[in-house]
Amino acid sequence: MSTPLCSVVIPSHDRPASLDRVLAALAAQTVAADRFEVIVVLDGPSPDSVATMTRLHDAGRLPHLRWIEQPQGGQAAARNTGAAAALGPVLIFLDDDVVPDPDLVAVHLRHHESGDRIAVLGDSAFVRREGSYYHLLSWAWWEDLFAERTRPERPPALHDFCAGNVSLRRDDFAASGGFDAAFTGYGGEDYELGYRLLQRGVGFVPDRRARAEHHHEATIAGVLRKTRQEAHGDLVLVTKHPELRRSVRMCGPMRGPIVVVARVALQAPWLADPFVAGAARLLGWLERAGHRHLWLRGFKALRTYAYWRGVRDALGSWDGLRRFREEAPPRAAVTIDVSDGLPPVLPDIPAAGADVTVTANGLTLGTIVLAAAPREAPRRHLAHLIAEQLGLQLVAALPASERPWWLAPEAPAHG
Amino acid sequence: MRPPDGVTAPVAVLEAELSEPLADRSGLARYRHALVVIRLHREPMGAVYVPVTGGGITAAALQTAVRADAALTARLTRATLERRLAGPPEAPPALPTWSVVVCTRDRADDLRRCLASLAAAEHPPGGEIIVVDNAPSDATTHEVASGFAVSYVREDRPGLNWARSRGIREASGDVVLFTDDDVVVDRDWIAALLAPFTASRVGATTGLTLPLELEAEAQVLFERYGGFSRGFERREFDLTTMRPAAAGRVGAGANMAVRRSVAVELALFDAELDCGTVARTGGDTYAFYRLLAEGYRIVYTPLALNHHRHRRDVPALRRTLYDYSVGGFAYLLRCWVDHRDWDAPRTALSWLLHDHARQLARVLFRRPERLPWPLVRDYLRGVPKAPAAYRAARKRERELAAAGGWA
Repeated sequence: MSTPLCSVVIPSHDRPASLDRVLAALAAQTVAADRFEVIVVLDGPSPDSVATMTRLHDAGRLPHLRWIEQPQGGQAAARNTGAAAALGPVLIFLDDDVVPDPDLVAVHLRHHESGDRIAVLGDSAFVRREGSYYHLLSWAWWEDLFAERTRPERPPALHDFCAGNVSLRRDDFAASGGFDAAFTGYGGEDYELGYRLLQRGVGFVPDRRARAEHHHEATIAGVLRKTRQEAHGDLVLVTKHPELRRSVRMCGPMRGPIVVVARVALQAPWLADPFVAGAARLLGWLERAGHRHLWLRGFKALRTYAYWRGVRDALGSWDGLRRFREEAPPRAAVTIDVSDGLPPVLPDIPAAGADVTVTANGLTLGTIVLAAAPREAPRRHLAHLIAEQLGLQLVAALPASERPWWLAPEAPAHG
Repeated sequence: MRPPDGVTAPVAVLEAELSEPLADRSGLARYRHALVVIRLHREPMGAVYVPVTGGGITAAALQTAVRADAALTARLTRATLERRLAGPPEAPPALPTWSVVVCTRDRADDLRRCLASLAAAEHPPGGEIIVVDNAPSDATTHEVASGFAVSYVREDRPGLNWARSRGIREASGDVVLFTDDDVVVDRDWIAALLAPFTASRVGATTGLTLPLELEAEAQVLFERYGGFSRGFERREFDLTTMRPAAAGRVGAGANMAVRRSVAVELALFDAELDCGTVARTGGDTYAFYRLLAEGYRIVYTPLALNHHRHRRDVPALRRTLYDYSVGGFAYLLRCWVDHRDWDAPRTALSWLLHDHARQLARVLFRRPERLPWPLVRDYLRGVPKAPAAYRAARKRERELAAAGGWA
């Protein structure tokens, strides 16, 4: 073969049936199967996976199918291994449960024809399952996420880069250093690479037409296990990029019931841990019996607990968390003068948010705390926040002639 | 808009635009009160009841009524400041294509007024209007429809839901907007109901429905019962924040739009529900339930305003309230039995306690805001009829399915 058009890299950890389905879909692409190569990295190979790969290779429907076996080291390391072996100028990363539509490879390639330094974010829509609340929630979450990404004029954000269905130029990947193998647990490694790519000037192009179906196999216990590992991922991310510290959940705002759950998880996990497994089973029963609302609440509570339990794994104790939060760099401070409405060009608000001080006609109206840079229509969003939080102060700062009549004192009836 | 105690028919229904100087209103000698819909730059902000003095309303009286409504002044201030800060709202991005479906049955005069308001409304590009004539007794509806630029189809299976289903099959737009024949739509109604569909998970939208007139006592009583209004704040409904069984609070079929692809996929209105069927009401609520339970979002937007002409006579209102109970509980039974949704009995209990029991208590304790006893009695009488209505509706659906389905 001359140089393939692209290399599809798939890390897989012992899911031969799922992998089989993904490779079958790759063999049926609109781009001829002999024009691209497929590299499967078996991360902790099982005899079943190896047998599946051997069978698929011998079947020959994907002429340039290769596989690499390596001891289990996490998805980040597996993807790096695959990328290092790749020959194509473009890398397409797929997960082993993400089944591509027939024109997925074609759509990714079309975007890269221009040679621009971009990462194409594909759509891996969750497949809903009859009667599964978890799949329904995941579907809703992903739909919102993708709709949010494709909003016009929205700047790319940290959590846009998901490695389940994404493509980028191999030289961009190599120059960035690839995935960070320090992410050994579930999650975080793709966000971290995305962040570095953005810093290096690689643009993000979300496209729904690069579509795949995410056949997610999940048990409640498995989901909780992964959620618990997310805290570790967050820690690795902000250790490497301290400026992001305020944008991860463990350094975010803590209010109400979250404080209680976090305290139990960090200070007295022996109190709750024994009940978690039972509660997960109870959720299964609630789902079968049709108690959707109770299920949702229970599931949310368990996930919150699992995350903060993971924070304990990562930081050791409540005091550890407190110190960690205190070390976070202070939020950026920004001042906006609104005497004549919002300024035509808004000051830059960093991704991790800012304290926005609002002034008008020489008066300081107050401060608005932005936990993150506004994602959609920043002018509208800021105007809304100022009107809602500092509305009365702003009215007071206006000259009397400009105050709306419904806020002016009523004229005496018999003057 | 719930009238304050002591407000009786007739009540004038007026509008006031606050971006322009307020003027005195005259020629209201027939009325003792007026319901004034307050707009700011055309957007509905609230509605206030104002006493009529000397055959009219002075600008000062209207101002006093606006000032007295704290929620309204807060909304006005917020909107004014947002406009001052960021300028007038940008035109929405490209809207989806649309089809307005008006289902009607033997109400030629109402239909004529409805179609005239639709013809006068702003039409975003790529739309059509369809009249579905449901089991008509004569050709009058056809004649009325032929006087307007609309397509006309006849659906002979009686029942509002069957008419809606037919409308969806005939429609070619990406979004299908529904209104009833006894409704008059606002100029911006179509675009306002379409705008939220640019987000992908939105399966339906609903809008604000206010009374067209409050000339008869029955019409004021219907507003006292609760009316159709769901308030002046935009709201989003989603299964992560509410029980889908409580879909009744999302809105009503007189002012709703659904994404056609989703409606077809879920066969959203293929059920023996709503006006003209044994279940009497609930076809719209059941459709909202299905959407919410399937993970779709429903957006309520008060920018999509229309006006409903309530029934003028008290016997008709008694029947309406009776039908609400029969259809409402039949709907909840369906959620419980057919969808095994245990949120449904909970919702039923909460509806009984918060609405039926409260209406009864108001009568027993002679509260000023009470409804007349015959209305409350019929409202309560509907509850035990729900199981029979549910069974009859299911039986009829099975017969229809056996007879070759309804596609």
